[in-house]
Amino acid sequence: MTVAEVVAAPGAMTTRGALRWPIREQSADSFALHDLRGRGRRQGRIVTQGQPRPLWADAAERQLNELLALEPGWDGYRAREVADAAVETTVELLDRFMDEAVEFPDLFPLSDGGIQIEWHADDVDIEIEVSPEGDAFVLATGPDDALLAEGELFGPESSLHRRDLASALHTFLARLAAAAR
Amino acid sequence: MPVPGDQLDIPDEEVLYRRLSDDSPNMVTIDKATGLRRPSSGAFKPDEDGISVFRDSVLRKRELSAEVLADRSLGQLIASIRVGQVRQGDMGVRDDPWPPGVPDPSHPKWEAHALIVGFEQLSKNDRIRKQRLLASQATLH
Repeated sequence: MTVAEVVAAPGAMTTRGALRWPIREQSADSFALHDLRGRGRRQGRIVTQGQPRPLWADAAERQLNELLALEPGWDGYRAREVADAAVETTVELLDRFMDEAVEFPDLFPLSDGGIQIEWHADDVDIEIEVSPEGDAFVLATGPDDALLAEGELFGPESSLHRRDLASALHTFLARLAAAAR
Repeated sequence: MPVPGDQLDIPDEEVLYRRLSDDSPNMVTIDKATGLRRPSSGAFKPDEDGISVFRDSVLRKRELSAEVLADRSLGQLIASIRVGQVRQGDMGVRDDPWPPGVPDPSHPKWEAHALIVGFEQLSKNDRIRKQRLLASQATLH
């Protein structure tokens, strides 16, 4: 059994991850977001429980901590700070879809506190919009704007099977391989 | 058919600017196959009222250039797009000078503030496709 563990520094707010993760179908690995907000900053650490640390974990941890460090108004307008739930869902998505063959995606903050995950290779575009509440919406298109995958990944509104996104990633990798030849 | 809220007295030739970051946070994606750089579509995610932009002509009236929008020492970039390109994507533009709740609210640049509108009642798919369109047509400076 895998359990999501959340550790908060003394006086820090706890994240909602411990409450949300068990509701979802569990994946092979489990991760914890250690919230150090009580020390004046928000910082997460990806930990595995009884599993080898994935190769992508260092890059993810570094980039997500950069996003967690953004202050409100980071876009020069009225952006909110990146939400804990968005970080947790991003880690969960990476856990499910990353492997040694998949290029690490770009991670971008969204002005509403969400995170966008993107893979682009020529005419293949995969975007996952993670909301501040931790929901995830996928839009993946291929050559001639053909729809490869679209829909909500989690929760009662889920309309996308994970294999559709996996298939879109396969198309992305094929396009990358073709470009390399 | 005009998009509700589109201010038709803003000409198609008007140039709109949006500040982006190329560092902390990076809002520019690099195509893994072609190496081309372009703004993330996430950089064009609308707020409740639209996407914040600045009008070139109004900045010029105040004798300002688009450079006032970006701090280059912080790796900030400026993306530009013409109003006509926005309208071709079934979106519109309206003035929104002196918006509340922004940093440095008395800076004269805010007189040039405007909004890209036309996202109301769109599905997520349609909204993200419009964001993609803006990101793909924007020019980075």
